[in-house]
Amino acid sequence: MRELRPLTISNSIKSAPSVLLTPEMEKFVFVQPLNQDFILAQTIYTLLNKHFKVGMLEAGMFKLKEVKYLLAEEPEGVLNVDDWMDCLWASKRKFNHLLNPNTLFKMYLINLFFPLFSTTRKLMLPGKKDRFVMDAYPSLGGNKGIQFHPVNLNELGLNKAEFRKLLSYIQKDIGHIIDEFLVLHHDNLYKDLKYQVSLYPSIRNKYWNELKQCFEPDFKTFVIAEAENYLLKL
Amino acid sequence: MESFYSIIYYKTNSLTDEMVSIGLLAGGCEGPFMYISNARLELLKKVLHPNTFLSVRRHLKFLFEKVGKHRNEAAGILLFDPVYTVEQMELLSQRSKNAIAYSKPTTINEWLDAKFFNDLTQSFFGEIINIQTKKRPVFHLKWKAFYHSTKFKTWESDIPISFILNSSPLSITVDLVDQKAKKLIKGIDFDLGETSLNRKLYELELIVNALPDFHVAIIYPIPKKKSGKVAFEVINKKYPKLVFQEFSEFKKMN
Repeated sequence: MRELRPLTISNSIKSAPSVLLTPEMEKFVFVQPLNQDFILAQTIYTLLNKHFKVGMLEAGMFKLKEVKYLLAEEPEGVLNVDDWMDCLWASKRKFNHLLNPNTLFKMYLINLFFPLFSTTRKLMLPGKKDRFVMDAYPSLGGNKGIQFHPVNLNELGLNKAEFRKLLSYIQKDIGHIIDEFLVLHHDNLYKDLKYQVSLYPSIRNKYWNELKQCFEPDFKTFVIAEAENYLLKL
Repeated sequence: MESFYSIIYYKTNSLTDEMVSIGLLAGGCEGPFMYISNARLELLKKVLHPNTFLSVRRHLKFLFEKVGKHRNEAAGILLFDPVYTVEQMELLSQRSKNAIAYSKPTTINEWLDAKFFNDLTQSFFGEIINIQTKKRPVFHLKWKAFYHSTKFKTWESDIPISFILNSSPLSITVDLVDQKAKKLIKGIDFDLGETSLNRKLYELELIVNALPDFHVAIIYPIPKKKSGKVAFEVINKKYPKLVFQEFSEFKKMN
Protein backbone atom coordinates (compact mmCIF):
# COMPACT_ATOMS: atom_id res chain seq x y z
CA MET A 1 0.00 0.00 0.00
CA ARG A 2 1.38 3.33 -1.03
CA GLU A 3 1.67 6.20 1.42
CA LEU A 4 0.00 9.15 -0.23
CA ARG A 5 1.04 12.77 -0.20
CA PRO A 6 -1.94 15.02 -0.75
CA LEU A 7 -2.07 18.12 -2.86
CA THR A 8 -5.52 18.83 -1.53
CA ILE A 9 -8.33 17.04 0.25
CA SER A 10 -11.91 17.97 -0.40
CA ASN A 11 -14.98 17.22 1.65
CA SER A 12 -18.13 16.43 -0.19
CA ILE A 13 -21.21 18.52 0.49
CA LYS A 14 -23.44 15.66 -0.54
CA SER A 15 -22.03 13.24 2.01
CA ALA A 16 -20.11 11.37 -0.64
CA PRO A 17 -16.67 10.13 0.46
CA SER A 18 -13.93 12.74 0.77
CA VAL A 19 -11.42 12.85 -2.01
CA LEU A 20 -7.67 13.26 -1.90
CA LEU A 21 -5.79 14.63 -4.85
CA THR A 22 -2.14 13.70 -5.15
CA PRO A 23 0.47 15.95 -6.78
CA GLU A 24 0.31 13.61 -9.79
CA MET A 25 -3.40 14.50 -10.11
CA GLU A 26 -4.63 11.05 -9.17
CA LYS A 27 -7.83 10.94 -7.19
CA PHE A 28 -8.22 8.71 -4.15
CA VAL A 29 -11.38 8.38 -2.07
CA PHE A 30 -11.33 7.78 1.67
CA VAL A 31 -12.66 4.38 2.59
CA GLN A 32 -12.17 3.68 6.29
CA PRO A 33 -9.68 3.91 9.15
CA LEU A 34 -7.12 1.15 9.00
CA ASN A 35 -6.71 -1.44 11.69
CA GLN A 36 -4.53 -4.49 11.81
CA ASP A 37 -7.39 -6.77 10.81
CA PHE A 38 -8.06 -4.81 7.72
CA ILE A 39 -4.42 -4.45 6.72
CA LEU A 40 -3.97 -8.21 6.76
CA ALA A 41 -7.22 -8.80 4.88
CA GLN A 42 -6.13 -6.23 2.33
CA THR A 43 -2.74 -7.94 1.98
CA ILE A 44 -4.35 -11.32 1.37
CA TYR A 45 -6.75 -9.79 -1.12
CA THR A 46 -3.96 -8.06 -3.04
CA LEU A 47 -1.82 -11.17 -3.02
CA LEU A 48 -4.61 -13.34 -4.39
CA ASN A 49 -5.43 -10.92 -7.20
CA LYS A 50 -1.82 -10.47 -8.13
CA HIS A 51 -1.16 -14.18 -8.05
CA PHE A 52 -4.04 -14.94 -10.41
CA LYS A 53 -3.12 -11.97 -12.60
CA VAL A 54 -6.29 -10.01 -12.09
CA GLY A 55 -5.91 -6.26 -12.42
CA MET A 56 -7.03 -4.15 -9.52
CA LEU A 57 -7.21 -0.51 -8.59
CA GLU A 58 -4.51 0.89 -6.39
CA ALA A 59 -5.02 1.29 -2.67
CA GLY A 60 -3.34 4.04 -0.72
CA MET A 61 -2.79 5.07 2.87
CA PHE A 62 -2.90 8.46 4.47
CA LYS A 63 -2.42 9.60 8.03
CA LEU A 64 -4.91 12.24 9.04
CA LYS A 65 -5.01 13.48 12.66
CA GLU A 66 -3.10 10.46 13.98
CA VAL A 67 -5.45 8.02 12.28
CA LYS A 68 -4.38 5.98 9.30
CA TYR A 69 -6.95 5.81 6.55
CA LEU A 70 -7.36 3.46 3.66
CA LEU A 71 -7.88 5.17 0.33
CA ALA A 72 -8.86 3.73 -2.99
CA GLU A 73 -7.97 5.03 -6.39
CA GLU A 74 -10.87 6.48 -8.30
CA PRO A 75 -10.23 6.73 -12.02
CA GLU A 76 -12.44 8.74 -14.32
CA GLY A 77 -15.69 7.13 -15.35
CA VAL A 78 -15.48 3.95 -13.30
CA LEU A 79 -18.61 1.78 -13.22
CA ASN A 80 -19.93 -1.06 -11.09
CA VAL A 81 -20.28 -4.34 -12.92
CA ASP A 82 -23.84 -5.59 -12.51
CA ASP A 83 -26.70 -7.00 -14.51
CA TRP A 84 -27.96 -3.50 -15.34
CA MET A 85 -25.13 -3.00 -17.79
CA ASP A 86 -26.04 -6.05 -19.85
CA CYS A 87 -26.82 -3.68 -22.73
CA LEU A 88 -23.05 -3.56 -23.21
CA TRP A 89 -22.97 -7.16 -24.39
CA ALA A 90 -26.43 -7.55 -25.90
CA SER A 91 -24.87 -8.70 -29.16
CA LYS A 92 -21.53 -10.09 -30.25
CA ARG A 93 -20.67 -6.79 -31.90
CA LYS A 94 -21.24 -4.93 -28.65
CA PHE A 95 -19.45 -7.62 -26.67
CA ASN A 96 -16.35 -7.00 -28.77
CA HIS A 97 -15.97 -3.64 -27.04
CA LEU A 98 -14.96 -5.46 -23.86
CA LEU A 99 -11.24 -5.87 -23.44
CA ASN A 100 -10.97 -8.71 -20.96
CA PRO A 101 -14.15 -10.71 -20.37
CA ASN A 102 -11.91 -13.65 -19.41
CA THR A 103 -10.68 -11.73 -16.41
CA LEU A 104 -14.23 -11.21 -15.21
CA PHE A 105 -14.72 -14.96 -15.01
CA LYS A 106 -11.39 -15.28 -13.24
CA MET A 107 -12.62 -12.80 -10.62
CA TYR A 108 -15.61 -15.01 -9.96
CA LEU A 109 -13.33 -18.03 -9.71
CA ILE A 110 -11.29 -16.26 -7.02
CA ASN A 111 -14.53 -15.54 -5.17
CA LEU A 112 -15.47 -19.18 -5.49
CA PHE A 113 -12.13 -20.66 -4.44
CA PHE A 114 -11.38 -18.12 -1.70
CA PRO A 115 -14.72 -17.20 -0.13
CA LEU A 116 -13.13 -15.11 2.63
CA PHE A 117 -14.48 -11.61 2.14
CA SER A 118 -18.12 -10.64 2.41
CA THR A 119 -18.08 -8.82 -0.93
CA THR A 120 -15.49 -7.87 -3.48
CA ARG A 121 -16.45 -5.29 -6.01
CA LYS A 122 -15.90 -5.73 -9.72
CA LEU A 123 -15.53 -2.55 -11.67
CA MET A 124 -15.35 -1.46 -15.25
CA LEU A 125 -12.92 1.14 -16.53
CA PRO A 126 -13.94 3.03 -19.64
CA GLY A 127 -11.65 3.24 -22.61
CA LYS A 128 -11.53 2.48 -26.28
CA LYS A 129 -12.38 -0.97 -25.04
CA ASP A 130 -13.90 -1.29 -21.57
CA ARG A 131 -11.75 -3.11 -19.06
CA PHE A 132 -12.77 -5.11 -16.00
CA VAL A 133 -10.79 -4.57 -12.80
CA MET A 134 -11.17 -5.44 -9.14
CA ASP A 135 -11.79 -2.71 -6.63
CA ALA A 136 -8.84 -1.66 -4.50
CA TYR A 137 -10.10 -3.21 -1.30
CA PRO A 138 -12.41 -6.00 -0.11
CA SER A 139 -15.29 -5.36 2.22
CA LEU A 140 -15.39 -7.40 5.40
CA GLY A 141 -18.51 -8.31 7.28
CA GLY A 142 -18.54 -6.39 10.56
CA ASN A 143 -15.29 -6.15 12.51
CA LYS A 144 -14.59 -9.84 12.45
CA GLY A 145 -11.95 -9.90 9.76
CA ILE A 146 -11.97 -12.57 7.10
CA GLN A 147 -14.39 -15.44 7.42
CA PHE A 148 -14.49 -18.65 5.45
CA HIS A 149 -17.97 -19.02 4.07
CA PRO A 150 -18.39 -21.26 1.00
CA VAL A 151 -20.51 -19.82 -1.80
CA ASN A 152 -21.70 -21.23 -5.07
CA LEU A 153 -21.80 -19.52 -8.42
CA ASN A 154 -25.52 -18.95 -8.09
CA GLU A 155 -25.00 -16.85 -4.98
CA LEU A 156 -22.30 -14.94 -6.81
CA GLY A 157 -24.89 -14.02 -9.43
CA LEU A 158 -23.40 -15.90 -12.36
CA ASN A 159 -26.66 -17.71 -13.02
CA LYS A 160 -28.40 -14.48 -13.96
CA ALA A 161 -29.39 -14.49 -17.61
CA GLU A 162 -27.34 -11.36 -18.25
CA PHE A 163 -24.07 -12.93 -17.08
CA ARG A 164 -24.80 -16.25 -18.71
CA LYS A 165 -25.13 -14.36 -21.96
CA LEU A 166 -21.79 -12.63 -21.43
CA LEU A 167 -20.01 -15.87 -20.58
CA SER A 168 -21.64 -17.79 -23.40
CA TYR A 169 -19.57 -15.68 -25.82
CA ILE A 170 -16.37 -17.01 -24.23
CA GLN A 171 -17.74 -20.50 -23.58
CA LYS A 172 -14.89 -22.09 -25.47
CA ASP A 173 -12.27 -20.37 -23.32
CA ILE A 174 -13.85 -21.09 -19.96
CA GLY A 175 -12.48 -24.62 -19.67
CA HIS A 176 -9.07 -23.21 -20.38
CA ILE A 177 -9.48 -20.43 -17.81
CA ILE A 178 -10.44 -22.95 -15.15
CA ASP A 179 -7.43 -25.15 -16.00
CA GLU A 180 -5.11 -22.19 -15.89
CA PHE A 181 -6.56 -21.15 -12.57
CA LEU A 182 -6.03 -24.62 -11.10
CA VAL A 183 -2.42 -24.67 -12.27
CA LEU A 184 -1.78 -21.46 -10.38
CA HIS A 185 -3.57 -22.76 -7.29
CA HIS A 186 -0.43 -24.47 -5.98
CA ASP A 187 1.71 -24.93 -2.87
CA ASN A 188 3.66 -21.73 -3.32
CA LEU A 189 0.48 -19.72 -2.97
CA TYR A 190 -0.20 -21.62 0.24
CA LYS A 191 3.28 -20.78 1.53
CA ASP A 192 3.06 -17.15 0.48
CA LEU A 193 -0.25 -16.68 2.25
CA LYS A 194 0.98 -18.46 5.34
CA TYR A 195 4.04 -16.23 5.46
CA GLN A 196 1.98 -13.06 5.12
CA VAL A 197 -0.34 -14.15 7.91
CA SER A 198 2.57 -15.03 10.17
CA LEU A 199 3.72 -11.40 10.08
CA TYR A 200 0.80 -10.41 12.32
CA PRO A 201 1.34 -12.44 15.49
CA SER A 202 -1.69 -11.25 17.41
CA ILE A 203 -4.27 -12.32 14.83
CA ARG A 204 -2.36 -14.93 12.87
CA ASN A 205 -4.05 -17.97 14.40
CA LYS A 206 -7.51 -16.63 13.81
CA TYR A 207 -6.73 -15.72 10.22
CA TRP A 208 -4.88 -18.88 9.35
CA ASN A 209 -7.69 -21.04 10.66
CA GLU A 210 -10.04 -19.38 8.20
CA LEU A 211 -7.59 -19.24 5.34
CA LYS A 212 -6.36 -22.81 5.43
CA GLN A 213 -9.87 -24.12 4.84
CA CYS A 214 -9.58 -22.86 1.28
CA PHE A 215 -6.80 -25.39 0.69
CA GLU A 216 -8.56 -28.43 2.09
CA PRO A 217 -8.88 -31.15 -0.57
CA ASP A 218 -12.60 -31.67 0.10
CA PHE A 219 -13.36 -28.04 -0.44
CA LYS A 220 -11.22 -27.87 -3.55
CA THR A 221 -12.95 -30.89 -5.08
CA PHE A 222 -16.30 -29.28 -4.33
CA VAL A 223 -15.50 -25.96 -6.00
CA ILE A 224 -13.80 -27.53 -9.01
CA ALA A 225 -16.93 -29.59 -9.55
CA GLU A 226 -19.02 -26.44 -9.13
CA ALA A 227 -17.02 -24.57 -11.78
CA GLU A 228 -17.04 -27.46 -14.23
CA ASN A 229 -20.72 -28.01 -13.69
CA TYR A 230 -21.36 -24.38 -14.53
CA LEU A 231 -19.41 -24.74 -17.74
CA LEU A 232 -21.48 -27.80 -18.69
CA LYS A 233 -24.77 -25.96 -18.19
CA LEU A 234 -23.71 -22.81 -19.98
CA MET B 1 -47.63 0.18 -12.98
CA GLU B 2 -46.62 3.46 -11.47
CA SER B 3 -44.87 5.78 -13.89
CA PHE B 4 -41.76 7.64 -12.91
CA TYR B 5 -38.78 9.46 -14.25
CA SER B 6 -35.17 9.38 -13.21
CA ILE B 7 -32.47 11.78 -14.32
CA ILE B 8 -29.23 10.31 -15.64
CA TYR B 9 -26.15 12.13 -14.43
CA TYR B 10 -22.50 11.87 -15.22
CA LYS B 11 -20.01 12.49 -12.43
CA THR B 12 -17.40 14.63 -14.05
CA ASN B 13 -15.41 15.42 -10.95
CA SER B 14 -15.63 13.66 -7.62
CA LEU B 15 -13.35 16.27 -6.09
CA THR B 16 -15.96 18.98 -6.47
CA ASP B 17 -19.14 16.87 -6.37
CA GLU B 18 -19.75 17.91 -9.91
CA MET B 19 -22.45 16.13 -11.86
CA VAL B 20 -23.86 16.86 -15.29
CA SER B 21 -27.34 15.71 -16.17
CA ILE B 22 -27.16 14.04 -19.54
CA GLY B 23 -30.42 12.26 -19.97
CA LEU B 24 -33.77 11.16 -18.72
CA LEU B 25 -35.24 7.72 -18.20
CA ALA B 26 -38.96 7.24 -17.69
CA GLY B 27 -40.84 4.03 -17.06
CA GLY B 28 -44.39 2.80 -16.56
CA CYS B 29 -47.53 3.22 -18.70
CA GLU B 30 -46.44 3.16 -22.34
CA GLY B 31 -42.76 3.37 -21.41
CA PRO B 32 -39.93 2.90 -20.91
CA PHE B 33 -38.56 5.94 -22.64
CA MET B 34 -35.06 7.28 -22.60
CA TYR B 35 -33.63 10.55 -23.79
CA ILE B 36 -30.01 11.58 -24.22
CA SER B 37 -29.22 15.24 -24.58
CA ASN B 38 -26.85 15.85 -27.46
CA ALA B 39 -25.89 19.30 -26.21
CA ARG B 40 -24.86 17.87 -22.84
CA LEU B 41 -22.87 15.14 -24.53
CA GLU B 42 -21.05 17.82 -26.51
CA LEU B 43 -20.23 19.43 -23.20
CA LEU B 44 -18.89 16.14 -21.80
CA LYS B 45 -16.79 15.70 -24.90
CA LYS B 46 -14.89 18.83 -24.01
CA VAL B 47 -14.31 17.73 -20.42
CA LEU B 48 -13.47 14.04 -20.64
CA HIS B 49 -10.57 12.11 -22.06
CA PRO B 50 -11.50 11.18 -25.65
CA ASN B 51 -11.45 7.44 -24.95
CA THR B 52 -13.54 7.83 -21.81
CA PHE B 53 -16.03 9.91 -23.72
CA LEU B 54 -16.16 7.29 -26.43
CA SER B 55 -16.97 4.65 -23.86
CA VAL B 56 -19.59 6.75 -22.07
CA ARG B 57 -21.34 7.61 -25.29
CA ARG B 58 -21.27 3.95 -26.32
CA HIS B 59 -22.71 2.95 -22.96
CA LEU B 60 -25.56 5.45 -23.25
CA LYS B 61 -26.24 4.47 -26.83
CA PHE B 62 -26.48 0.81 -25.97
CA LEU B 63 -28.70 1.58 -23.00
CA PHE B 64 -30.89 3.70 -25.26
CA GLU B 65 -31.18 0.80 -27.68
CA LYS B 66 -32.04 -1.55 -24.83
CA VAL B 67 -34.78 0.74 -23.56
CA GLY B 68 -36.18 1.23 -27.05
CA LYS B 69 -36.14 -2.48 -27.72
CA HIS B 70 -37.91 -3.16 -24.46
CA ARG B 71 -40.67 -0.69 -25.33
CA ASN B 72 -41.18 -1.86 -28.87
CA GLU B 73 -40.79 -5.61 -28.70
CA ALA B 74 -41.23 -7.10 -25.27
CA ALA B 75 -44.50 -5.50 -24.26
CA GLY B 76 -46.03 -8.87 -23.48
CA ILE B 77 -43.41 -9.75 -20.94
CA LEU B 78 -43.72 -6.53 -18.97
CA LEU B 79 -46.15 -8.01 -16.48
CA PHE B 80 -43.88 -10.84 -15.47
CA ASP B 81 -40.49 -9.29 -15.72
CA PRO B 82 -40.66 -5.57 -15.15
CA VAL B 83 -37.17 -4.26 -15.76
CA TYR B 84 -37.75 -0.53 -15.60
CA THR B 85 -39.53 -0.24 -12.30
CA VAL B 86 -39.34 2.19 -9.42
CA GLU B 87 -37.64 -0.49 -7.32
CA GLN B 88 -34.98 -1.11 -9.93
CA MET B 89 -34.26 2.60 -10.20
CA GLU B 90 -34.16 2.95 -6.41
CA LEU B 91 -31.49 0.28 -6.38
CA LEU B 92 -29.57 1.91 -9.18
CA SER B 93 -29.65 5.32 -7.55
CA GLN B 94 -27.84 3.89 -4.55
CA ARG B 95 -24.78 2.83 -6.51
CA SER B 96 -22.31 5.35 -5.23
CA LYS B 97 -19.32 4.20 -7.20
CA ASN B 98 -20.87 4.62 -10.60
CA ALA B 99 -19.77 7.49 -12.80
CA ILE B 100 -23.10 7.26 -14.56
CA ALA B 101 -25.55 7.96 -11.76
CA TYR B 102 -29.32 7.78 -11.69
CA SER B 103 -31.42 10.05 -9.52
CA LYS B 104 -34.07 8.62 -7.24
CA PRO B 105 -37.23 7.95 -9.24
CA THR B 106 -39.90 10.62 -9.08
CA THR B 107 -43.53 9.70 -9.66
CA ILE B 108 -45.30 11.17 -12.66
CA ASN B 109 -49.00 11.92 -12.20
CA GLU B 110 -49.79 11.72 -15.88
CA TRP B 111 -50.27 9.07 -18.47
CA LEU B 112 -46.77 8.51 -19.80
CA ASP B 113 -46.71 8.28 -23.55
CA ALA B 114 -44.33 9.42 -26.26
CA LYS B 115 -45.89 12.88 -26.45
CA PHE B 116 -45.78 13.47 -22.74
CA PHE B 117 -42.21 12.21 -22.56
CA ASN B 118 -41.32 14.62 -25.31
CA ASP B 119 -42.80 17.50 -23.29
CA LEU B 120 -40.96 16.29 -20.21
CA THR B 121 -37.57 16.25 -21.89
CA GLN B 122 -38.38 19.65 -23.37
CA SER B 123 -38.99 21.11 -19.95
CA PHE B 124 -35.87 19.46 -18.51
CA PHE B 125 -33.33 20.06 -21.22
CA GLY B 126 -35.03 22.66 -23.41
CA GLU B 127 -33.70 21.04 -26.51
CA ILE B 128 -35.75 20.86 -29.63
CA ILE B 129 -35.41 17.42 -31.10
CA ASN B 130 -35.07 18.24 -34.74
CA ILE B 131 -36.12 15.44 -36.97
CA GLN B 132 -33.36 15.16 -39.48
CA THR B 133 -34.49 15.65 -43.04
CA LYS B 134 -33.62 12.70 -45.15
CA LYS B 135 -30.65 13.37 -47.34
CA ARG B 136 -31.36 13.10 -51.03
CA PRO B 137 -29.44 10.31 -52.67
CA VAL B 138 -26.85 11.61 -55.08
CA PHE B 139 -27.70 11.78 -58.75
CA HIS B 140 -25.44 9.02 -60.01
CA LEU B 141 -27.00 6.49 -57.62
CA LYS B 142 -30.53 7.46 -58.61
CA TRP B 143 -29.54 7.44 -62.25
CA LYS B 144 -27.85 4.06 -62.00
CA ALA B 145 -30.86 2.56 -60.26
CA PHE B 146 -33.10 4.01 -62.94
CA TYR B 147 -31.22 2.76 -65.99
CA HIS B 148 -30.69 -0.65 -64.43
CA SER B 149 -34.43 -1.00 -63.95
CA THR B 150 -36.64 -3.17 -66.15
CA LYS B 151 -37.77 -0.12 -68.14
CA PHE B 152 -34.59 -0.41 -70.18
CA LYS B 153 -34.71 -4.13 -70.80
CA THR B 154 -34.22 -3.73 -74.52
CA TRP B 155 -31.18 -1.51 -74.04
CA GLU B 156 -27.71 -2.64 -73.13
CA SER B 157 -26.26 -0.98 -70.06
CA ASP B 158 -22.67 -0.26 -68.97
CA ILE B 159 -21.13 -1.26 -72.27
CA PRO B 160 -17.49 -0.34 -73.02
CA ILE B 161 -16.93 1.48 -76.30
CA SER B 162 -14.64 -1.30 -77.49
CA PHE B 163 -17.68 -3.59 -77.55
CA ILE B 164 -19.63 -1.26 -79.78
CA LEU B 165 -16.76 -0.31 -82.01
CA ASN B 166 -14.34 -3.17 -82.52
CA SER B 167 -11.57 -0.96 -83.81
CA SER B 168 -11.59 1.21 -80.70
CA PRO B 169 -9.36 0.36 -77.73
CA LEU B 170 -11.37 2.58 -75.35
CA SER B 171 -12.68 0.87 -72.25
CA ILE B 172 -14.92 3.82 -71.21
CA THR B 173 -18.42 2.54 -70.51
CA VAL B 174 -21.60 4.05 -71.85
CA ASP B 175 -24.62 3.97 -69.55
CA LEU B 176 -27.23 2.89 -72.08
CA VAL B 177 -26.84 1.81 -75.68
CA ASP B 178 -29.30 0.73 -78.33
CA GLN B 179 -27.02 -0.50 -81.10
CA LYS B 180 -29.70 -1.10 -83.73
CA ALA B 181 -31.31 2.32 -83.36
CA LYS B 182 -27.87 3.86 -82.89
CA LYS B 183 -28.90 5.57 -79.72
CA LEU B 184 -26.76 6.23 -76.68
CA ILE B 185 -27.55 7.78 -73.29
CA LYS B 186 -25.15 9.07 -70.63
CA GLY B 187 -25.82 10.69 -67.27
CA ILE B 188 -23.73 13.64 -66.10
CA ASP B 189 -24.11 15.61 -62.89
CA PHE B 190 -22.72 19.09 -63.50
CA ASP B 191 -22.57 19.81 -59.77
CA LEU B 192 -19.75 17.33 -59.28
CA GLY B 193 -16.33 18.41 -58.05
CA GLU B 194 -13.96 19.87 -60.60
CA THR B 195 -11.81 16.77 -61.18
CA SER B 196 -14.71 14.31 -61.39
CA LEU B 197 -16.65 16.62 -63.71
CA ASN B 198 -13.63 17.10 -65.96
CA ARG B 199 -13.21 13.35 -66.17
CA LYS B 200 -16.86 12.92 -67.12
CA LEU B 201 -16.60 15.61 -69.78
CA TYR B 202 -13.43 14.09 -71.17
CA GLU B 203 -15.21 10.75 -71.38
CA LEU B 204 -18.08 12.47 -73.18
CA GLU B 205 -15.70 14.00 -75.66
CA LEU B 206 -14.11 10.63 -76.38
CA ILE B 207 -17.49 8.98 -76.83
CA VAL B 208 -18.73 11.68 -79.19
CA ASN B 209 -15.55 11.47 -81.25
CA ALA B 210 -15.47 7.68 -81.33
CA LEU B 211 -19.12 7.23 -82.26
CA PRO B 212 -20.02 10.14 -84.55
CA ASP B 213 -22.99 8.40 -86.16
CA PHE B 214 -24.74 7.72 -82.84
CA HIS B 215 -27.56 9.80 -81.47
CA VAL B 216 -26.24 10.86 -78.02
CA ALA B 217 -28.50 12.02 -75.21
CA ILE B 218 -27.23 13.51 -71.92
CA ILE B 219 -29.33 13.13 -68.80
CA TYR B 220 -28.57 15.66 -66.09
CA PRO B 221 -30.09 16.94 -62.83
CA ILE B 222 -30.70 20.71 -62.76
CA PRO B 223 -27.36 22.17 -61.67
CA LYS B 224 -27.61 24.02 -58.36
CA LYS B 225 -24.08 25.25 -57.90
CA LYS B 226 -22.81 28.25 -59.82
CA SER B 227 -19.94 26.22 -61.22
CA GLY B 228 -22.40 23.56 -62.35
CA LYS B 229 -24.56 26.11 -64.18
CA VAL B 230 -21.53 27.54 -65.95
CA ALA B 231 -20.23 24.11 -66.95
CA PHE B 232 -23.66 23.19 -68.27
CA GLU B 233 -23.84 26.34 -70.42
CA VAL B 234 -20.39 25.69 -71.84
CA ILE B 235 -21.14 22.08 -72.75
CA ASN B 236 -24.51 23.03 -74.23
CA LYS B 237 -22.81 25.41 -76.61
CA LYS B 238 -19.90 23.09 -77.33
CA TYR B 239 -22.04 20.19 -78.53
CA PRO B 240 -25.07 21.59 -80.37
CA LYS B 241 -25.84 18.15 -81.80
CA LEU B 242 -26.36 16.45 -78.44
CA VAL B 243 -29.74 16.20 -76.82
CA PHE B 244 -29.80 17.42 -73.24
CA GLN B 245 -32.62 16.19 -71.10
CA GLU B 246 -33.38 16.83 -67.45
CA PHE B 247 -33.51 13.72 -65.31
CA SER B 248 -36.97 14.29 -63.83
CA GLU B 249 -38.44 14.93 -67.29
CA PHE B 250 -36.67 11.90 -68.69
CA LYS B 251 -38.18 9.82 -65.89
CA LYS B 252 -41.68 11.04 -66.72
CA MET B 253 -41.27 10.21 -70.38
CA ASN B 254 -40.19 6.66 -69.73
